[in-house]
Amino acid sequence: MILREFIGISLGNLWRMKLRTALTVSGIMIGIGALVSMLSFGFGIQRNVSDQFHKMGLLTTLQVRAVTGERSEATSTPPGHPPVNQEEESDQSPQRILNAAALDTFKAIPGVSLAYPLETFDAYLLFGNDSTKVSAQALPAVFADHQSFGDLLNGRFFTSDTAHAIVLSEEVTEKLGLTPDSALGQVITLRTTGRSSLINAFLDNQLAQFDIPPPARLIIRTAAESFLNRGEKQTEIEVTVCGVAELRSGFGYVIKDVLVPTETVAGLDRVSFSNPLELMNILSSDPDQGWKQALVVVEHDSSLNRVSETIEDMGFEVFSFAGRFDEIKRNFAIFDLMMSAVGFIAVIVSLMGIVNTMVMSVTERKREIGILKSLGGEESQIRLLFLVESGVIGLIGSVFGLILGWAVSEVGSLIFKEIMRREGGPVLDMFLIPWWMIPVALGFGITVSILAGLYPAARAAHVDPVKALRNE
Amino acid sequence: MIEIKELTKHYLLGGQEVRALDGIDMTIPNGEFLRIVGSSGSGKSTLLNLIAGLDTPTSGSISTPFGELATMTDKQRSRWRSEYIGMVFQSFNLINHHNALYNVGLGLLFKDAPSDERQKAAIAMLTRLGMAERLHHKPADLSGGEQQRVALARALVKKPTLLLADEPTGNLDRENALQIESLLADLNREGLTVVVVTHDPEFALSHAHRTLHLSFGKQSSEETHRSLDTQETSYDPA
Repeated sequence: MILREFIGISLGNLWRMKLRTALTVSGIMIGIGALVSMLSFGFGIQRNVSDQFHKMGLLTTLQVRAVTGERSEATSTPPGHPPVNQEEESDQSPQRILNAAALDTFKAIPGVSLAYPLETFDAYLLFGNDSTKVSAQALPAVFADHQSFGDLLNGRFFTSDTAHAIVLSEEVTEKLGLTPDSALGQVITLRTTGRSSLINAFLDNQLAQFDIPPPARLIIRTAAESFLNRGEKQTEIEVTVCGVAELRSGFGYVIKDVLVPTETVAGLDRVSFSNPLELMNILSSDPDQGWKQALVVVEHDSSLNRVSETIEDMGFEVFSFAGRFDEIKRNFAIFDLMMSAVGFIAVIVSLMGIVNTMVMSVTERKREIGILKSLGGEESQIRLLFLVESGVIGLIGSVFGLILGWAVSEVGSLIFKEIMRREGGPVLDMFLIPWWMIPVALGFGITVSILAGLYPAARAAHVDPVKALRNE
Repeated sequence: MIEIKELTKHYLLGGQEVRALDGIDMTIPNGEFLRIVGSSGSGKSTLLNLIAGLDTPTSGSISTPFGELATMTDKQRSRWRSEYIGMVFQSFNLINHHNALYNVGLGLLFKDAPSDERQKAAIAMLTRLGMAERLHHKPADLSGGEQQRVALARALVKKPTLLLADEPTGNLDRENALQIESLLADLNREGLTVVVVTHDPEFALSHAHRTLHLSFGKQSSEETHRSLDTQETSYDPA
């Protein structure tokens, strides 16, 4: 009950000294306001990065590669050996080929929601009389259920791995002379750069350098082709546009222009290279050796490490961004600390104001303290009275500080958004005040104000009532 | 009853020891109206402060129904004041920025009385002391006599058993001084023990049972004016 009375007395005293109270409260208000706005800026940036990580699936996706190098060569499966998902009788980890059987094994691991090969290739889209070069990625139909590939502008993602369907990016749609509305349902021919055509072009180029009679050239060409090419494959299919999207690349999907179902393009003769060395590697590699990379998506980021270890134990190389994200989070914690340091300094300065105000208040109210003691006030109660008063200053200052911090965050956010809009980049909210910051800021403001009131309150408690009452 | 034995209070002032009280022995029976008279610096206010527990003696003892004051903790002495003691000062010691009602209500603050109960008791006490029309006046708007009546109401609202008045009429004119004197006499007749410190040899002489003369911290003489056993004991401040 005495606490409630003291709060009333404190409010009365603070109201009586309006100007001094306003100045002291504004000090703590600026301190808490600075702290809140600085932290909200730190949290805002952190939230944006975290959101990007989540949107891109960086925390739920593992990149799996077949092990290459000496170890894998030493233990590699001989050509023609049945697909690799069986343990070698060796002390070393057996090499695994990243093929459909391996992906099935990954899918069987508890917590894995999706496993698919990373397949990108160059292609031409033939529509009308035009041919447009595009970068394509093959994805399973269930991909859209687990990962965000972007924002659909019209239509839908393909629903079957064997569907002759295609999702176009907005840019490719425009290049084809279509709009998101008119593109839907259009039948387009997808033509790949086939292995055989590459080999033929390569051989023609090489043989042209030697003076070889045409019959001999034909024999050499046919022999080389039959050795390297091992059969002709289809290089064209017709696909129907099922969706137009603003495609967004991420970890595990380097989507650029178009998306096609995995099985639909599985039979196509397709290669993709960016330099002659890559081309030579492609031409000399065994097409049945499996994929170079695959992506494994887990249901929840908490199971990422366990799944990663399981796949590593199977003999594959695994990479994920989760570890990097932890490192980024640590850096953000340091960033937040630096941000809050600015606010802390402002709060410390405001605490000086509280100490000053309270010491003045004790000096001015010595007679009042003497009266309260003559009426039976204990030292601890007098101390409490002044602590309550500094706490009330802290409470009022913190409430206004929160409002100030929120206002600064809102204004800052508007300014940043405007800048981003003008720069043409994605418009992000750069400030975030989490709900828990409200009680924390209030508690912090009140606590530090009470701490600031400790010394003045101790002085008040030790006022000699005899002297205080005699002064008058 | 309060029993004081070998009470001394010494303190240092400018490097020199001042013997404010030097071996006081006295007894204050319940219901007595006691005057303590002496010139300035005789130690009478110090004696009052020691009885109230606002100050601690250098040596000696003050036995009260609540216990030995000299050995009490701050908490115990505070309780002694809040439960048993009412104090009135020469300079009234009211809180100037609060009205009469609030000032009187403060008397019950440390008795943990709820706010509405404090207000009711304060109104009743101020009404009893003839201040019903002045409840919401601040001290600056009241005459000296009215201020002292507010201070007296604050002292009495907690129903003390001992009233300690330090020069209660020192700042008052003759007419107001007589009114306060009369009020104290009435309260004493109802059974309240009253100890008044005054430098006025005539103040309350006709009402007091006894006068104790102090000089340089020592009891110089004692006069008994009337017997205590003829006293009525119906004191009820409420």
